[in-house]
Amino acid sequence: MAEFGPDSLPAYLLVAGVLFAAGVLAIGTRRSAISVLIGIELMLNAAALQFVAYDRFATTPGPQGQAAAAFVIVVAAAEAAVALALLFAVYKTTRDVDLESTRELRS
Amino acid sequence: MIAAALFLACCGLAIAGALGAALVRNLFHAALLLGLSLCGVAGLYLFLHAYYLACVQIVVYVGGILVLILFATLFSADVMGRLQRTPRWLLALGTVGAAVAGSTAWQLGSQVLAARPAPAAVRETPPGHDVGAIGDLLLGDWLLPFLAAGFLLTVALVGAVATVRRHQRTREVAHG
Amino acid sequence: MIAGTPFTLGSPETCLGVGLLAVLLADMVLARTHQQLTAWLAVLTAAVAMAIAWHTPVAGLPFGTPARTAAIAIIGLVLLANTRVGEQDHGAWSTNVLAIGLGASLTASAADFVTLWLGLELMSLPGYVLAGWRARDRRAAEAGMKYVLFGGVASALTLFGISHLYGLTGQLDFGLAAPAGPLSPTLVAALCLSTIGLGYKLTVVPFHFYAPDVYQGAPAIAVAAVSIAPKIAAMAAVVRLLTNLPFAGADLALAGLAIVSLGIACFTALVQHDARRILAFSGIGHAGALLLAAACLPGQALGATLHYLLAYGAANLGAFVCLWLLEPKNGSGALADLAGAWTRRPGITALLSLFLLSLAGLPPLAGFLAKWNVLAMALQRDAGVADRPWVTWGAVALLLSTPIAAWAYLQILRAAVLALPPPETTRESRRPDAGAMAVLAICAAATLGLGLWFDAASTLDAMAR
Repeated sequence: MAEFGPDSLPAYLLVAGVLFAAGVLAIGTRRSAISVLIGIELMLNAAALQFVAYDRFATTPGPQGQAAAAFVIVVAAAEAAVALALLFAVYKTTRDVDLESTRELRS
Repeated sequence: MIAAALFLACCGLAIAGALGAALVRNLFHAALLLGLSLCGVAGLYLFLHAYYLACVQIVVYVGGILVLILFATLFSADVMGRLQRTPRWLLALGTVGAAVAGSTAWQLGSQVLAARPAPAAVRETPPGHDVGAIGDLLLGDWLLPFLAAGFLLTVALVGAVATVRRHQRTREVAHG
Repeated sequence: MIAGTPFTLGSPETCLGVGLLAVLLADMVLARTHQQLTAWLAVLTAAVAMAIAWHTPVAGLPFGTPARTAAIAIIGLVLLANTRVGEQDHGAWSTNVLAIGLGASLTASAADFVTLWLGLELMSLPGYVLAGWRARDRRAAEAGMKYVLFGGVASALTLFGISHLYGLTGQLDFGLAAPAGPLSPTLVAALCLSTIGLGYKLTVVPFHFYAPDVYQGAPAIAVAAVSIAPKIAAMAAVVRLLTNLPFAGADLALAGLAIVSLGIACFTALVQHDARRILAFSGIGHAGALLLAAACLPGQALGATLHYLLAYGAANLGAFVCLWLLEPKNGSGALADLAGAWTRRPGITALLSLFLLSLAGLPPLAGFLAKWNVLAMALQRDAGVADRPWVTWGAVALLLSTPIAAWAYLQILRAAVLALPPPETTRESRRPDAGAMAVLAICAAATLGLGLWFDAASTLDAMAR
């Protein structure tokens, strides 16, 4: 068993795992579109943290993990911008972004 | 000693912020707690010698994306979470799930370390040297994804602007 | 040890990227009276990119070359169908559709997980925007929001899987990531997580739930843009993953997903009252059939998969363009709103019937031959082919689901051809222009031609091998 500290890979993975679970929790338990957005950001962060941690403790260290994490941040920014625009569109038509009240689409 | 304490603080910040963001009913507070978690992760990047990423995390994530999300909370009619009712059993389940995920990840990490052929040597990167390596990779072997990311940002912003403009200009259009 | 996906200047991605920027610039610079030029510039870009894609083989994946060409061709046809710039922001529309083509091209040629993920994102983000395209429309906005939220979750799960994959193998390239010997359970779990994004794009069953809502709420022409080309590209990525990372049980997993997709799609389609929802479930079923074809790899499955993709793409694109032309201008796809289409526009309704019958799998049309090829592949009993009971069950599911799904298509036809419109309503629908008619002609020719090209599977297989 490794010990918990700045030089142990399991510590970082633990933090990432909890971040990921918190993201799933935010998406699963809340009914606002914004908490889904928050959950997505938490999950993306967990993935980015894992990339960097795995990168540092790799047998052949390379910058791949860090570059991948940089891509994650770029994509998160792009996704947040598009999501915000679409939430604005929903807000303009229904005055709320509650996932329970926006239910026009059904069979 | 101080390093270990700081590391613990960063971990605590990241975990507490994330769980808070997932559980707090007030959406505005949840978004702020997300920011706290992001700052904790930035601190962990420093411990991982990813100095450049730590800066980007603060500037882009906390400074940009988080502001977008804070702005988005204004679209919710129930920002304060008065109408949010999360069942207790779901919360309990979620917390247990988080604990299980954490311990599984810990196990996995130990496994990965054990399976590595050589004892995973910790690489020492002096501050500033990580940027050069990332740059070499992005303009070398990973040029295609790098360009793709640029196009992704361009298209996302064009799309976002077009969406907002179309939904805002409707009155003008109705007049002619 | 890093190889990544090589970048060459003479690739269709370059052409699409430069064309995209040119369209964006032209949209800003040109006066309102010359905006038509931007629409044609976008069509031209797609045409040139298609020609380049045809002549540029995808490194390491022969199947990728025709798949990438087909995806770009579909994007070009979508652009050609909607060249009338009367509506606002046509430049932004063209930019987004071209970006989907760029993403599809990247996905089909990706040789590492980061490029694959970025390609998927590049197909998704413009898709979210297009789904919510109709201004001041509650359903379109809801479709866009649901699409972006579910898509974001799928993409985050994918990325989480990829990061574990990186940690476990130390590699991000498809080929190098394959370790010698059997895969560990953790690695299989990570691999499954990292393919969620592909499943989402293919609308395979556990990741299909967004499709009916998005298809119903988005404009029909936007659905044509977001549904077909990404599926072709995702299928190319699936083939690449299967050839680079062959692991025991892949055929079982694929056939299982195929059976569930086929079963759920055909029964749920029966209770829908919206033409586009029916087509969404049809897409889910066809995705199941495609996975069944992929489960037969290796063998002649590549040709069958390619033929199925082409047949499905042509018929589906045609059906969506027909619906787009037949629907009332508020964009409702409800079956009740299709009533009287035969009296208003008999030609387009006849074409719609052709495409729907092809999707249903009626004999002289492409859909029949495509299904036949997949069935023949799955039921093949040669000396060289190992016994695959799951694939056989998948073939049974495909066989049983076909008549049930056909009944759902007939519901659309009944609404369009037989039902009479309420007498007092005068529905205004879109006026078909030359571009849209050309697209319909191409799709109809492809649907007929692919149906009569009996040795398509073996010919295409020789090309894709």
